[in-house]
Amino acid sequence: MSERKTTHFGFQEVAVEDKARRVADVFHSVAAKYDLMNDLMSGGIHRLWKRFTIELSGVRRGHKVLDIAGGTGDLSYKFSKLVGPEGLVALADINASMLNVGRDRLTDRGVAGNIVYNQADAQYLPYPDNTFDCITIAFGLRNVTDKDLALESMLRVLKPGGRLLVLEFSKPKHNMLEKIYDQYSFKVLPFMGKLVTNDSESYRYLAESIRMHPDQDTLKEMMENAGFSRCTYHNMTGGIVALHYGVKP
Amino acid sequence: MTSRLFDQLQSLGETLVALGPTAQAGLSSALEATLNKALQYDPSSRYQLPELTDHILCIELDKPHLSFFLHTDGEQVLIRNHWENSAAILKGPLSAFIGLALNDQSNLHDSGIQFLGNTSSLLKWRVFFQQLDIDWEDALNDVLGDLTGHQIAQGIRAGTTWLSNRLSDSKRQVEEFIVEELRSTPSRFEFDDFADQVDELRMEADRLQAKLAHFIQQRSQQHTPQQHQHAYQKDQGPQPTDTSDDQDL
Repeated sequence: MSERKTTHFGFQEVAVEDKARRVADVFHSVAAKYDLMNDLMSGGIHRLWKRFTIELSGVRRGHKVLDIAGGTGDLSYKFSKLVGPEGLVALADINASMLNVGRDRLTDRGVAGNIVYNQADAQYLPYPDNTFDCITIAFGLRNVTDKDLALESMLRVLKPGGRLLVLEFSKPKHNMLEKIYDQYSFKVLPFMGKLVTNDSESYRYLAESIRMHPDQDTLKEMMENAGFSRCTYHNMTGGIVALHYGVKP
Repeated sequence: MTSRLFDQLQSLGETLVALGPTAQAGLSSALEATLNKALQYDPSSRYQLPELTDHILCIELDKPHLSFFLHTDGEQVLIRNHWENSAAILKGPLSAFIGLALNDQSNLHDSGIQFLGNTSSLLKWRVFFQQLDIDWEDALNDVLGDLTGHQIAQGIRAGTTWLSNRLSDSKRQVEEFIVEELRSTPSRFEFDDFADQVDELRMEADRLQAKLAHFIQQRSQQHTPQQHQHAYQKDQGPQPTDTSDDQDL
């Protein structure tokens, strides 16, 4: 009898085919209060991380941008203004609840005409080859079951010269900061999750999935292995978050 | 005191650079929000902002090493730390930029700031900043109410006028003491008279030089035909004498 392939879901080992469903359950649970929780958990700093991502994206009028795991559409909103009516933003998320929240929010803010919403799996992106000038995935890659497959899929749909930006939690660069961050992640976050969304388990998963995510150098190596060139990363807030950058040759 | 302030600002900037992209994004975000908030109280300047689209101005500080890119989106100013293209670049230390702002200097000569790029873009931004006329009283009224705001604004205006008069008086008194009592420098009128005399002397010297040059040229033209004839005679040897008169006799 062959062994079932497993992967991690936080600190647990689960069957590969179960991970997507369990991640989906987490995001169905938190979707309604996702923005509020982001602001509370990061003290609003997530806006600065996203601002830096947009600055490095080099997105201009007329560009086509794919915002994977776009969630509630923070990046897509800015991109839709940058690309103008000649450009296109595709907001993709595997989770229908998150996508609905994002679509409602952007529509309420008057974003329409140059944006499309697609429920899509980052591992099997449903777009033709060489379509996008820029792809971003913010706080989404760690939830993907097979990250290498997702990176290859992103490379395929990027135009040559197009850039990939991966904004993700990473490994703090100082021991003291790491200890404080651990206490915060495993004690404070689930407590806040319990208070605001009545769901501490989803926020425990958040903390665990961050620890299981590859560190800065490993992710850079994964991007290079997938075929990206000029790969580099920028640590932000002492390495709590890192922005990885790569170009399709 | 000013140099100490410059040093403190410089060390603050260096700390900001050391803190990384998050802190820099925070600073540019705060500057952007403040500038756009202030522009709400100057509608005529705000209406000019769409004319600055595509005229991206980069302010590149040497010490600390920080860059700010100014561009516009409709009637909003955007300030970024990273951008790929800019029409005009102003480069120099922070102290030079502060000096330029405080001295109300209208050109970059001897300011310690280097300019690269498109002059018309720089001029457009200069005109924009020169024409800024923010209605601070209106801003105060919004916060404190019309009556209190107006009274505080009157107080600030009276205080500013008094301070400006005192500064101007002190400057004049110090100037008089140095010129009249100490006699260590000439008065402005004496200096202007001396400068006029120097100018006159310079013009007379120029005229004399021009006359001399003209005279020398005339002399050389007079000498040249005779010298040529003399040289020709030397080459041909002694000429035969005309004896026709003798024959007639």
